[in-house]
Amino acid sequence: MARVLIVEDEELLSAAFRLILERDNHTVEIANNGKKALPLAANFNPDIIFLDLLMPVMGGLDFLEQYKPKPNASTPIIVVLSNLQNEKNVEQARKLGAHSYIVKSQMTPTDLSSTVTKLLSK
Amino acid sequence: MIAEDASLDNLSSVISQLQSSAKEIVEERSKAEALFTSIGDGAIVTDENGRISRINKPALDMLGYTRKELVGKWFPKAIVATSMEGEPIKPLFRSVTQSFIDGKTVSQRLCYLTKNGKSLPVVTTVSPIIHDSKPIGAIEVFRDISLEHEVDRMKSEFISIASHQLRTPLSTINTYAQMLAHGFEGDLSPGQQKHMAVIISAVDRMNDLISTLLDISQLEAGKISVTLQETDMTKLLERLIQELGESAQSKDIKLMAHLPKETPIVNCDPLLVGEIYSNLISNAIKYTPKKGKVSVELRATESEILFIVSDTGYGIPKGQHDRVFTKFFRAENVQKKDTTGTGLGLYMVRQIAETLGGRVWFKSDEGKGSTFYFGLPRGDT
Repeated sequence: MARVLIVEDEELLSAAFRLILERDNHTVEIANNGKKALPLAANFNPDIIFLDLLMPVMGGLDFLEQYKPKPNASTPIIVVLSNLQNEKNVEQARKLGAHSYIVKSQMTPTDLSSTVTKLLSK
Repeated sequence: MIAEDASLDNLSSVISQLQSSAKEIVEERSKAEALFTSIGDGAIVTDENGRISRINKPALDMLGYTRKELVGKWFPKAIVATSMEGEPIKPLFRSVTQSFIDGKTVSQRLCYLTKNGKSLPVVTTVSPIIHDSKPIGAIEVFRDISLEHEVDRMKSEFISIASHQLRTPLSTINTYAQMLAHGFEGDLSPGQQKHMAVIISAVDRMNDLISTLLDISQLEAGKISVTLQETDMTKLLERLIQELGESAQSKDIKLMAHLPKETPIVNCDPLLVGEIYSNLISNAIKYTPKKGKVSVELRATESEILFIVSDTGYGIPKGQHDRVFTKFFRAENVQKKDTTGTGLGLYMVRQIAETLGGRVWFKSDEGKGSTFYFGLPRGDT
């Protein structure tokens, strides 16, 4: 089972993601902006991070720029979850280390579960 | 003596006629000059070598040059032009050169660099000046479109932000609706399942609409990039037909495909071409009544890959043919039958086709059906 960090400012959405992932027996932590996610990611050592791009205080792109996993910890797979359908943002997120990109408003609970399963099997 | 007097009379009459003709010529020239200088838009005349022979005041005011600085100079070099995105346009591709080569009127949207280095968005129309069946020069009329350009930019930015904001609550509705439908709070009764399916389908439609609006705003802003890759056109079309087959089946529509024996491999952007194919096929299915027929054909010619989709649908009223590819257009006859269309699909098809250097056209008879064609240049394979 995976350790999943959700970085998302829409509390109703992050709560739903938690429900879906905990039902699959994953361990979930939530941060509502990039700044709060930085120390949480360092201590929690997630396997997967679902990262929103537009958030108050610190957005996803800034988080990607500043986030460095601890030297001994494994590097988490970062999946951008956003409604920004803008090639520039996607391209920039990829350059900063994001693995893939999902448009949030088109995602189903099955998509979320299967994304985690697929990424774990890599 | 009499003969001499007569010839003198003749001569003086000829001189007087010549004087009167010369006066007329001067008057005509002065009228032509007044006409040229009175044009409210910028106007530039070149000789057969593309050198500027005349330029009016609005053109000088917009470009910031004096007449002396431009007259006699080679137009493509004297006035530097770039694309709307700031890429320099080579002299060969300037409208003034193209118009001369083709002998036709050419229109272009581009930016001129003014004397002080400012980029000025303009729309130009250049026509060759033909005299005795030979081109003796060209005349360009151009208009400052800074304001339209800025409004377009703001509109695209607004659509982009508004779309994101609309999608935020939509994500929440979608996620919770999907959770309920997937039994997160227990099994649903058949009635509840039916209602959940309606909510999810409405969310999907809203998502599609937002995606289309975003795609259009990016296309209009010239932000869609074309990524070329060798593409198996038959496979691309087969996949789309499979995806769209379900909606055809649900209306009992026979969806037939006529694909070439030899698979054409084309260097193109499969996503953008797929967007055109899928839009044209889904339109055909949508606007064909139950138990109708939709036929899809792929034909490879030397110069292009021709995609043809015919249907036995409602057709488009003749009086509305010229508006089919305009934004938000929906034919009057289908508005009564189907209220869900946005009128954006065919507009987007034409925008993408133009981005790819292709062409799109149609034939339609109201009550009998329509046939849409999309020709994609083969390019380098």
